Amino acid sequence: MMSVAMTAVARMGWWHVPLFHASPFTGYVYPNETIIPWSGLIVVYPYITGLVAGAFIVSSFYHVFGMNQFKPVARLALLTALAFVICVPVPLLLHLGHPERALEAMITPHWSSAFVAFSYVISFYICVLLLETWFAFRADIVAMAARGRGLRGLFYRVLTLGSDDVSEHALAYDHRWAYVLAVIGIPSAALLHGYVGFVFGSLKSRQWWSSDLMPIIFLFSAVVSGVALLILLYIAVSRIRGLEPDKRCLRGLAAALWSFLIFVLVIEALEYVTMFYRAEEGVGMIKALMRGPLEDWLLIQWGGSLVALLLLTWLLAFRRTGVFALAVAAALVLIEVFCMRWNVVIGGQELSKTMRGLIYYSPPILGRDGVIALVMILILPLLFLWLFVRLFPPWDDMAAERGLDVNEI
Amino acid sequence: MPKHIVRLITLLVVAVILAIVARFYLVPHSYYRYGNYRGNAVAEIARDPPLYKGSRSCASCHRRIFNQWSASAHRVQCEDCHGPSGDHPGMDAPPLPINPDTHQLLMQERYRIATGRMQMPTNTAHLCLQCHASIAGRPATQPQVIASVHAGTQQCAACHDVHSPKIVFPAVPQVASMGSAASGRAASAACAACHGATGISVSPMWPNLAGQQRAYVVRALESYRTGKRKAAPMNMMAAALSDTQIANLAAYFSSLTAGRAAVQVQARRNVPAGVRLVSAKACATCHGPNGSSSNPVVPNLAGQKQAYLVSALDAYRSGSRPEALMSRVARGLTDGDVRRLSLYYSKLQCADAACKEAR
Amino acid sequence: MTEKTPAVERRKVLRVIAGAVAAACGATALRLFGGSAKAAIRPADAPPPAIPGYDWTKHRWAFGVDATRCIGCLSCVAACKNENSVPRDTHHFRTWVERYAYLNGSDEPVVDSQSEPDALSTSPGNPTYPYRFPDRYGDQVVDKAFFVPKLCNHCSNPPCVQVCPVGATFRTKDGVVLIDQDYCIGCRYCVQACPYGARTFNEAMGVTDKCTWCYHRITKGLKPACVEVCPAGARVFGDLNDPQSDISVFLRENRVNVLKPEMGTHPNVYYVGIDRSVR
Repeated sequence: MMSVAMTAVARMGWWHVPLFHASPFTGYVYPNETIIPWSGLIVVYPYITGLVAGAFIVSSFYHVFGMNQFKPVARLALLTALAFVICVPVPLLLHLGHPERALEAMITPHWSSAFVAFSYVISFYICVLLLETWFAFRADIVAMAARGRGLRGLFYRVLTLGSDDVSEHALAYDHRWAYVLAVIGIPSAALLHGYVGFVFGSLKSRQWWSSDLMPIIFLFSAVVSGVALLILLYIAVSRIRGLEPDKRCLRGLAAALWSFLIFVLVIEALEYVTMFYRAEEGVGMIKALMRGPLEDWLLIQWGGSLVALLLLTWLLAFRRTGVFALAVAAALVLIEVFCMRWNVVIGGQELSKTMRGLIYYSPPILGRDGVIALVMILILPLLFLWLFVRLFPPWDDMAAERGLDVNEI
Repeated sequence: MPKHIVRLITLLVVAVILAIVARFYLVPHSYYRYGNYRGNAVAEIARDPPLYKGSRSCASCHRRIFNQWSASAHRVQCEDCHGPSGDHPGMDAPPLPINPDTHQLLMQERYRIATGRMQMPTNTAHLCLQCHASIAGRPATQPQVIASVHAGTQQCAACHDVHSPKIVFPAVPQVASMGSAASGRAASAACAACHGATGISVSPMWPNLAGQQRAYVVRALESYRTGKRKAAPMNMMAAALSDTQIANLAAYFSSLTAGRAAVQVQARRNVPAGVRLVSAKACATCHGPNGSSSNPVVPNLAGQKQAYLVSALDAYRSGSRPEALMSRVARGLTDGDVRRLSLYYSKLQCADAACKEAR
Repeated sequence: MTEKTPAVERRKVLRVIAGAVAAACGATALRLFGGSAKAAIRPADAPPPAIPGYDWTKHRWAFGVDATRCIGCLSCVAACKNENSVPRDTHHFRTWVERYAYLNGSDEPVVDSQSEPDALSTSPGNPTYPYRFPDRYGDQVVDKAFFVPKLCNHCSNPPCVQVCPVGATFRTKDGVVLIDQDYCIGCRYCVQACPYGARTFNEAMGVTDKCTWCYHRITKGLKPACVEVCPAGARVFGDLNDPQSDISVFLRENRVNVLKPEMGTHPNVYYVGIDRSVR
């Protein structure tokens, strides 16, 4: 019965996914360029790493810089960073022709490749995040291990490493380690994302990528997207839990978003201005690229950023805490940063290396780099976050109920 | 130090040691031998068997055709048309009878192969045009044709031996019956008023006919008669001509050589520009290197009236003289090109004996 | 007592496991440090790859293209696809041919190649030639037009090798850039890095593919397939170490050019008869 149904589906043929997805082009492009090598998966990948870096920076506002107004989101930010960072390899592995060989990059690294640094940096960063989360939640873990039953209890007991020591002495250790790891984590996060910019900016073969500003743009847009994500998450979980979000915290997040957004927009605008002012060979094709395949994406990117900036300016100038307006601004920023990633990753490949033609890429629906797969990859970290929040509730109010003072940590 | 910290550090140290150990066993043993790559890959890549064996490998069995091919102007390789030889026996193979009926059988029996058969292209019209179709970009030194004009729907192999294409034209269908030059002379009195008694025309607007290609003259008169080619006096004159009279006139004009001396040779101004153009536009492919055609349907151009050549090219360009090949060539010319080409051909004389003979 | 026993048991098991791991580590350490003095061969002393009758230190390969001779017949493209099992579609090429045409006084050429849809041969006449240049400028004034065969430049300073994260692509001692397709992870970074579009991703195999100058042929004394079949003599290949080789003569007798020299890649494919517009 099952096989009959499967055969019927297969006969319909609509789910047959072709081996590759060639794009139409105008002008002249090298024959091998009609299949773009890096598709939607490589757009999602820097997007997720950006959210990780941004979320981590938000948790550091409290953990490292001691800005108390960010306390309500500090541990949520940590779990968010962790949930997203373990999803970073997913689009990459899906992208590889031979994912089973991925570890070769660490076993026999070829050091002149920017990708090698990535495999080490991401592994190191995942370790740092795991450890930091462990230290930040260890007191809770010990408490839950004592109460837990069955499989879940066993999970917590394994995590305690067989030690239920929550003495002041032990907690002081945890505090110091967590602080040191957070301090290490900031440059790691910056490195992780600055490096992603380097992967693109260092390629001389692509005029749209080949820019010294690329790592800086990636880094700051990463922070912006992470802050925006946390604003949305914080508002959402507060609604779900039936609580009012903390006003001071929201205002702080809005200010952070506003200032980083200005930074990003100014650097990106400078990049365009420099490019057009210099008007080196090929600037005509770049203009054609911006008016051609990238037009809609650029409109969403810049329109979204400017509307978000106006909203945030209005909120800050009049000292408002319009939760809805803030959520809209944050959502716009998330969309804007995704478009920016698309414009860099896909845009660079839509401008032919011949500088005589443009490739018009539109993502397929099916397949491992299809729209459905991309949406699923973007939802995956949220599922992980839901799981983590269930396992390690990051809320201060609940910790207080259990008689634990997590604020010390 | 608290217990959990000690255990954590122990765990980390063990993980690092395990990673180092695992790496030791996972690095391929030839990696780093010559550099940051797997050394054995070089020999592995070099091990693949070649598929194309080169034309010389065909010679041991197909000696006759190989000799014919290598003596000809054809530089296209055996495997270009017959496909890669692959496991078709090569140089080392002992000779087998090349009889199509027994060959395949013997090959299968002796070499136990079923796939060793070479391609025998039958659609030569398609195959030859891969190199000989007239398209932009092909250097002028490459012989090129427009198939529809050159051969219609005929296969190339109908006239050409594909292995040695220069052995040409024994089979070319005759364009017209031979006609009689003597009878043509009598009938030519009416032509002389404009085209001159010796076939050298009296006005720069009218073409010389002396020594013109016979089949071309036939075709010109026929198209005047049917009205395909339009020129008021010529349509009128040709309407009165029978097929025999046309053949006779063509035989007469093509036999004329005496009048050539009357053509004035002027200083060869503009010749270099003309030479460049002729080669760039591949005129010489049909009209001969000196403006003397070797194809009976293609007119000689050497020594033709300049004004006539300009008007002819203009007519081709505008389409008022319908002729697919020349219309296409002419549309690729600018006004300057037309002027320079006409001047160039009008200044050319039959220089060498071969050319004079051809006329 | 009843509570203690499992703990003692567990501790015993843990100790055994720890001992085994330690022993394995020790053995590895011994091999790693004790054996390394003998096993580690410096790259300079390593014997050449095991290719019968061939020593890669004795050759230095290079390629020449005389664009003035190319007739655009695409024999090379067909032969390359056959010889190297390149996918037979319009998106995967180890070598291809471009056509530059200057139309009616324009100073910018119109460029096309055999890979455009209307260049595909529609006639079933000969499966050897799947591609053909269309006659697309028939009625227009063509001031100048020429063909340019393209292939991997086997750069002395290859950007593709630079970016490979696992060392699956490398430059051999005899000057050929190869791909170890048993080691390639299929990340396509090299495809991005190549300024010449010479690399292509083979989706069916999950690895990158590129021109090898037919390494399996040249190490057996044959020419690359494209050179072997070229009817116009537009492609020249040979050993720079041999002053009488085709390529040495070609380089002595011609003034040559390379593609995109500003990229700093130092290509080893030399061109004659190309225009400033060729890139």
